[in-house]
This record gives sequence, C-alpha cells and structure tokens, in this order.
Amino acid sequence: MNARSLTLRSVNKSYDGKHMAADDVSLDIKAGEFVSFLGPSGSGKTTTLMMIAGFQHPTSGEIRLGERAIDKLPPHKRNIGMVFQNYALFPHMTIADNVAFPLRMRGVERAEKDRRSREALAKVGLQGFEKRVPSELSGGQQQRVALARALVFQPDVILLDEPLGALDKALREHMQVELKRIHRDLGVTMVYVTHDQSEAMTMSDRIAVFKGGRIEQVGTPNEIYFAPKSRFVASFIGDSNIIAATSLGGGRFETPVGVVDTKAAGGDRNTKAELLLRPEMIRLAVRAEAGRQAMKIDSTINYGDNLLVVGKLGTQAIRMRVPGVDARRLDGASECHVTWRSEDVHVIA
Amino acid sequence: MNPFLRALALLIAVFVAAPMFIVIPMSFSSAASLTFPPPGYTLANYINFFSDPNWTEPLVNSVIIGIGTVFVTLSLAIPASFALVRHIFLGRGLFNLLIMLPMIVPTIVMALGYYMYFGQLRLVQSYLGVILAHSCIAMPMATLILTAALKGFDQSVERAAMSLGASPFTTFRLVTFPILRPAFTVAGLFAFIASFDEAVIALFISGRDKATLPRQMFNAVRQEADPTISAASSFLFLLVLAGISIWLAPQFLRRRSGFTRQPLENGATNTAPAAS
Repeated sequence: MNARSLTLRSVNKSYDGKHMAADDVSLDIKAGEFVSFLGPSGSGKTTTLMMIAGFQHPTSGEIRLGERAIDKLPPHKRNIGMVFQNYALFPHMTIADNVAFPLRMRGVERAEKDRRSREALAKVGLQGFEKRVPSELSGGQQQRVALARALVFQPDVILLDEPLGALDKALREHMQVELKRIHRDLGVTMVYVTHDQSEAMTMSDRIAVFKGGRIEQVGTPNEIYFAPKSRFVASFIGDSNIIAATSLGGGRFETPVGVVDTKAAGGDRNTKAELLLRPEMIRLAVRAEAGRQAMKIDSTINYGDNLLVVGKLGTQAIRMRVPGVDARRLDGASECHVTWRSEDVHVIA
Repeated sequence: MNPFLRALALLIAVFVAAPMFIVIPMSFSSAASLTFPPPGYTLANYINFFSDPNWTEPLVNSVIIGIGTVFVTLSLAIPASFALVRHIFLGRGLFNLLIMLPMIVPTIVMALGYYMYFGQLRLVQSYLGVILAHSCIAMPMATLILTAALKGFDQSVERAAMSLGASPFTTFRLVTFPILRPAFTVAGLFAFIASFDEAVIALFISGRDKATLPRQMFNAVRQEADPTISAASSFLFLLVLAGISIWLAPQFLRRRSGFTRQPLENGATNTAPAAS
C-alpha cells in the first residue's frame, strides 16, 4: 500500500475568532507511521483530525500529504480513509456495497471492484458477510467493515476518530491487536484519535499529547511515559507522584521527602522544579535510608498482581505500587521503608 | 385493567369512530336524500360519484392541486429543514416561527387574506393560487416531519461518503436522500392529505372552475343534500386511510419479521476468527 507522510505546519483554527480550537499545531508524521492524538475532550485533537480530513478548514497554516498541499482541497479529493466512532456505515447498502463504495466513486471496473472489496473484507476477517446489511452485524463487526471500507481504495493515510470508543472492554482490546496487525501488514500511515491513554500507549509509534488546542508533547510511548515535558503530560498518562522540588545543583533536589538525587545534568541552585516518580518505581526497603523517614500507610488497594499503597512520606502524599509477591510483607503494617533508584526520578522541564 | 375504565375507553372509541360507521353504510344507501338507517343498498352513489362531471371535475381538481401542493411543499420544506437543523444563522428562530405560523393562524383568517391578496394577483380561481395557499397550510407539518428526521440523521455518514470520494451532490444522491426517503415520503403524503381535505381556503379562492372535492361536498350538502356526498366522504376517508397504511405498513412488516432486532454485542464470540 502507498503510505505517505503527513505534515502539519503552524495550523491554527478558531471557530469564533477569539478562542483557538487548534493553536499553532505542527507535526511531521512519517510514511507508514502510527501516530495517536491523545488528550481530554476539547483539547483540539478532533479538530485537528477534522482539518486533515477536510471537514474543518484551518484559519491559517498548511497541511501536506506527501508532496501535495491538501488544506484547500474538499474532503472527497484528498484520498484519505476515515473510520468514525459510530461506524458511519451506509445503512441502506449491503456490506459488499459499503466496502465497494470508494471504488465505485473512483470508477473502478466491476470485476476489479468485487475482487478488491472481497480482499479488504478478508483482511478484517469478514469473508462471507457481503450480502448482509449493517444492522445485522454487531458493533465490532460494523467497525471492521468501516475499516475495510477505509482501506480498500489504498488511501494515502487512514484517520481513525476514537474507533473503539463504542465497544466494550474485551472487544476493544481485541480490536487494538487487530488494528495493529492491519497496520503492520499494510504499512499504511495511520492517525488515531483517542482519549484513552492505555490505547495510545499500546498501539502507537508516537503519541502527540494535546491540551487546550496545542500539542503539549510528541514522542514515543516510552518518552511520553518516562520523560514527560510537562506536569500535564506526566499526570495525564499513567499514575504519578509529582513532587515540588528546589534545586541544590548537580542534580540534587531539596523536597518534602528529603534530599533527592537525580541523573539530571547541572541545574542552577535554588531554581524550582517538579520531580516525577511513577508509583511502580518506588520499592519496599528493608531499612530506612539515611535522612529518609518511614512512609505512613493510609490505605491499600489489592489488585492481585500488585498492591496500590496510598500514604505519606513526610508531608508528601505518595502512591506506590508494590508487586503482588512482595505485598504480603505489608500485611497489617502501618509504616514501611521505601527506596527508588536515582535514574528513575525524572525532572519535569 | 379496571372494567369500568375499559368500558369508558370503548365508549370513547365508538364515539370517535361513529361518523365513519354511519357514512360508509349511507354511501351504499338507495334513499334519494341523506337518511339513516338506509332503506336499501345500492352502488348508485358511487356510480354517480365517478361519472357525474359535477363530482369528477372537483375530484380531478383535487388530485391536481394535491400533487402540486406536494411538489411546492417539499421543494420548500426540504431546504428549509436542512437550514434549520444544520446551520446557525441570524433570524433562525423567526424563520422557524414563520414556517409554523399557518398552524397557529386560524384557517379562516388565512383564507380571507388569500381571497383579497390573490384577487389582486389574479390568482383566485386558478390551480396555482390554491396550490400556493395549500402549500402554506402543509408547510408546518412537512417541516416538523423533516426536521425531526434530520435531527436523528447521523451526519458522519455523509462525512464518510465524502472522505471515500463522493462529491457533495453524489453524497446527497447516494447517501442522504436514500436514507431520508421515508421521511420525504411521509412529508409528501401529509402535504397531499392536507390539501386533499382542505375546505375553508378552497371555498374562498377555488371558485366554481377549480372547485375541489371538499368544496363540492360542502356545496352539495348545503344546496340539495345529494346522497353522492356520502360516497365522496367514504372515498376521501379510504384514501387517507390508504395513505396512512402505506406509511405504516413497512414499519409493521419489519417489526413482524424481526428485521430491526439489534444484534447482541457480546465481544469475541461475535467477531470473526481472524484474531491475532
């Protein structure tokens, strides 16, 4: 399949001339890449997707698909496949006619059209459903049809607008695997909008985190998770402890939990910073470390494979995840000693 | 249910339906005037209704005016409904109110207005005049039906069609129109019925030349108590009944065959075996 790169250059969108729905959005998506737009509702991710698709027009800025500037083109001339949250199948057409629709629009001759629609349906595991109508299919099946319809005409890029949002949890996880497989098999560029951070983590090559119309950070799932550039990204993705700190220079910080060493380079004395410590990075220790108090345990929640411990270290509220095998050491305890590695402490820029 | 309530409900139903149960037997009556119960039974009234030019001409007029009303009403109500549902524009509330006005203003007031205004425009006693007036009467209902359907219409289906390569016009032709066809049909049907049994405006402006069926019925009962009127009434009633049935039948059949039954959403068992 012909994958193309997608470039957004200083794209702005305002509906009312005051509030910016998309604010200076710039992004380079490589050919064949799977990029997620992640953010809360109203963060601009859907507006940006709608501008790529052509249903909204940028107030200013440029959108390029490969070498082609597309921001002035109407949606039907962009050659972009799109999958919607509510499937958006044509209820009055059979599954075969739904999938063949984009080929029909492109004047593909009949035999070729039938062959390619059958192939596309086979790719999503729905051979033999050609004669049915959408209302006879389950939600998961309808979304597969929508996917087949979006890829049958070999679009330059496929946009997915919260495609799994209407499905139940088990089916959603199953479809995530399916989508990744299809992405791998076809090598097509995919842009995936979601507000579900775990979905973005598991599926994406890169994640663009949106907030208030702006892209807060773009990076691989690991960069986003382990090295967030802002407090918002740190707290939006995964569980987090964010600790206010004052630099002592040389990567050391004065904090409510005592002096914390990090691997961060340099840093001026007395500048304020925030430290990120993921709950699973805090571990139980046998004895107290020098200069560190014991953690007071307020409550625990047992997940079986891990135990979430909520408590206080000094004046700092701390969430800690203890692996299930170690959790029994905490039975009945009201305090525990904790430790972490200095390389796990991330300084939020 | 309480037997007393049941009896009361039955009584009300009988009272509401009674005119039909009197008019239909009377239409087969052999009496020369309107009397009940009929002394004997004959088809003479129906034969007269379909052969006497005094009745066939108004019938043809009514059909022509009805069809004209459907076309004028739909060609105005469809764009109006799209504008009302999909766009925010200055004066939208006022626009909506104007469309609904014929439902609020007493018909007799509108009829008098048309009588004077259309007189100036030389539209009295013409098909066009009656069609225009009837279209105003039909607009509120048609617009209500269409806006309700449009509000329930998922626009992402249109967006899907466009992203797949359909131009806006092709999208309307292949997607929007077929999906909304039932609503268009019902709106058209109601417009036809609104025109077909409208008497007040027809009395004021249709004149003798372009007399509609209800106007002729009114004249007949006032002047001579012609029993053909009962055949005309029954015909009118059956036509409206047939119209409503055409609308309801597909829904009824579909429900019977379980066609609209929603499939269960039970995860992996429903999805094809192409997993991982």
